[in-house]
Amino acid sequence: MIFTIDQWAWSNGLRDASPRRKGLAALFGLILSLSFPLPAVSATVIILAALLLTVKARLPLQTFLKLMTVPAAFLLTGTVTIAFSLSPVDAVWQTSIYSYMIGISAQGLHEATTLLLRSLGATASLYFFVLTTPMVDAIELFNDLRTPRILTDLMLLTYRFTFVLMETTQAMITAQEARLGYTTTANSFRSFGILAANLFIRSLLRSRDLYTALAARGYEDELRVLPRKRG
Amino acid sequence: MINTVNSKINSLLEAEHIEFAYPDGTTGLNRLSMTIRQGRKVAVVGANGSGKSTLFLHLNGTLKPHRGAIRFQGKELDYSRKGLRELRSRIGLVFQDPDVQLFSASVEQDISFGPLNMGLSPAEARQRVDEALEVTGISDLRHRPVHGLSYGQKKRVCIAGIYAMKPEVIILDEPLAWLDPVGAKHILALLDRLNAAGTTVIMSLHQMDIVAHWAQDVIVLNKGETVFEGNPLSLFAQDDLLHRCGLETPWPLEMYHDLVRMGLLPPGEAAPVDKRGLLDTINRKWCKR
Repeated sequence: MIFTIDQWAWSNGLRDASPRRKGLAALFGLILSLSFPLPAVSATVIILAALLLTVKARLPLQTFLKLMTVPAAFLLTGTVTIAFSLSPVDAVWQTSIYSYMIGISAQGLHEATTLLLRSLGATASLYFFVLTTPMVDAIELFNDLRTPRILTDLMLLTYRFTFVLMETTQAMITAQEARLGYTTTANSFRSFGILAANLFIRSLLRSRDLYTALAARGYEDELRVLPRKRG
Repeated sequence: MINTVNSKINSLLEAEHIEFAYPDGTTGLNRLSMTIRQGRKVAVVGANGSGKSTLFLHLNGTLKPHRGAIRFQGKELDYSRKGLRELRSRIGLVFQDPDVQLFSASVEQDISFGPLNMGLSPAEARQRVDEALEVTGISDLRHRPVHGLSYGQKKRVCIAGIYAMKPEVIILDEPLAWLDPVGAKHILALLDRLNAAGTTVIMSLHQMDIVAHWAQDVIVLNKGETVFEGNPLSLFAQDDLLHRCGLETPWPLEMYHDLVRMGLLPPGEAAPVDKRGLLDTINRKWCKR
């Protein structure tokens, strides 16, 4: 999922739009859906995000819907419980279990839908930002907003080396599999232990090498880079 | 050691009896001396573990020799913060593993890092980035994230990142390793262009065919020592040395020896080390002009 988002961030139609404006739009959607407990408002925000993403950013609607299902599944399990109540007054549907009446009240249903839509509206707003803005642009935006350099420098390195770590892990797992590392449960446990320990050591060595390489290009205290050229 | 007097005059970068041992006790360099001349194309060769990378890390001041001295333009290296900043803006080092060097996910941001550290204005840095992208032939990668690039492309981004700093000396640690033949050719052509513009180019490599036709000077390292300094022609004339250091003979030279053995070429002539030399020798014998 991370990779899907990252790929679209680098290849969508709004990639080179100003990160500030995209950030503002996302913030606006977020505030709207969080501060107005009206299903209509949240639904509008979701539809707007979907429209912007599919029409302007040229993201397939299917991809957006797929991405939305992940948080939606989470939210659904959380909100379903709100809809149910004991001996509901204005029951839409109810059933008896022994001597208890359990059902869905009209009010509960309304509350659950409102909450679900509000959360989905907020999620869609954030999706709009992360799906249209490459991470390096987001970091640039945080820099413009005066985030402490140490944090944004860490973000920059974390982002870049997440991929290096993933590749290294994948390569090591493939190599272990090639020597039957995961054929039995016992083997799997042992291989996984070795993998974890080695990844840790490699990461340490790599961070040292990284420092050497940065110093070779004059690194002193902060990672000074130009904003990405857009357009 | 060809023409010591001359090499002293043009000497740009010099190591004198430098010694270095790693904390775990491994000897890195053992009283190593060598001279790099201005504007040359220098190949540093030797088996794995012979000290090539260790030497390179000394030349840009990352490692400091325990004994001995390194001189750049006749002056001993200054290891102060300011001295290192100046040194590293004049001597660029391209690391072997691109994933070590590339820290930003954006190609242009990574390239802009060095120029900005040199104190250039954003406008100047931008110009340098554009030029580096152009020269290394990767302008089309501008908007691609680094993690989506191929190994060869990453390698070129690394070179662009150093090129953008316009150093007088560019040192490359095995720039051809893992590249396909076309990729290697591109890098060599690029290095030739940099050299033609006046940059001194130093690189380590293992392909002796390339050493034979590309390098003007060769430095051979063995167990942390310099065992040869001179031109490729005189290096490849020393069979025992090559053998001792685990180096191969370039194929045109082997071919020449075979042809001599078969009686097709007369023995005793100056042995050619590259393809052109071999063809010339054959021409002289068989196509009387």
